[in-house]
Amino acid sequence: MKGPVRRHPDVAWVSSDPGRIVVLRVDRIEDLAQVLQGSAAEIWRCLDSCHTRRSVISALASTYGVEVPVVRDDAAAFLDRLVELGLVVEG
Amino acid sequence: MSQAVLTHDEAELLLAVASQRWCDARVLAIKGPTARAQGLRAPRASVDVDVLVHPADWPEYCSRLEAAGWTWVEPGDKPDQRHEHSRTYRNPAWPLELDVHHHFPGFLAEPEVVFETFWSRRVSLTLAHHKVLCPDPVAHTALIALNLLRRPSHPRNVVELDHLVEHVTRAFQTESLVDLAHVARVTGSQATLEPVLRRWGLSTAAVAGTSEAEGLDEWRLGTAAADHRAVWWLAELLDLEWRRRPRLLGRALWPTRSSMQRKYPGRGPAGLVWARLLRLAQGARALPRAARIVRQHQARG
Repeated sequence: MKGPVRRHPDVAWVSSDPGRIVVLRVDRIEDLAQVLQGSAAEIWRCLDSCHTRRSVISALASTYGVEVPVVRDDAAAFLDRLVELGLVVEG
Repeated sequence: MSQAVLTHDEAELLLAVASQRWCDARVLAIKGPTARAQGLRAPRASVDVDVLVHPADWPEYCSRLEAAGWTWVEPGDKPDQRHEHSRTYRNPAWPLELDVHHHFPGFLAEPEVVFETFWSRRVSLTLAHHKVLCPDPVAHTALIALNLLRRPSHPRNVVELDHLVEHVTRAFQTESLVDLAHVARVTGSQATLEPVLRRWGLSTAAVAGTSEAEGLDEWRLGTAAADHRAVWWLAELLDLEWRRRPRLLGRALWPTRSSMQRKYPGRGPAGLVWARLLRLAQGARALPRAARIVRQHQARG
């Protein structure tokens, strides 16, 4: 839960509106761009200033004005997915 | 999270960045978003993303794209395909095409010399939160100007050329203008850029060698023919031996089915027949003017 997280340096992303971010691993030609919307986009934005899982989840809870336990599991699962896709690195 | 249906704007930025990273090659992003970021082009959506790849790396780059599912869009009904300077690729996951250049029309020096000149002057910009390499504003100006001068009378090009001239006049110091003249000299584009160099008060000089003179000849015919495809067909036809002319004439009058389908996507058999007839009628109407342009060109040659 406390582990450091950061965006992979080979990820490019664009945000054409506040609720939508499109991310792509630019070094992998076969990769497809991924759309992040709503809270997913918000988690991506949190990675600007949050560098641990815990701080990302806290920031997300704060953004939505809810307690941490309300978002913890979903946010953690989403971070796992980002790591799995190579869009975020841990450690 | 889902796999994206990209908007045009999103795709343009991401593709400009990614296309530079997909192969271990020397690649520069040209035109499009990098030119806009440098103020050389007014904000306008591009129809494709363009990259300039070192000529020696170009075949490998194209192979890499093809291996990854990008399809080469073979040129349509162009008569002369000897001077291939780029290939256009398409991928269903991307809403715009990728134009992969190893050379750029109007630079009459050897492609390697042109690329090395651009590469030695590369700069890094940030697009989509990522670094992307592109020519510096001076070299990029030469390339953008040549791109617009390929169809000098096209209304949009007239407007964009005016924008470029005004921007350079306002933003470039004297040293940058002198530098631009130097780039034009090294890349063999003094004569082809002459209409804009004059507007910046820069002198133009004679073309260097025979190959550049031949290139200039072709450039002039090409710019005259840009809005009149019949000129190309006629010039190419006259350039051929007699025995090879019927085949080319056949292609000119009746392009292949695949070529027509590429040019008129979505049309059924009847629509394509109608398009062929329309094309023939337009060609017949354009022929007298085309003959005049070709005659003038031959007289100059």
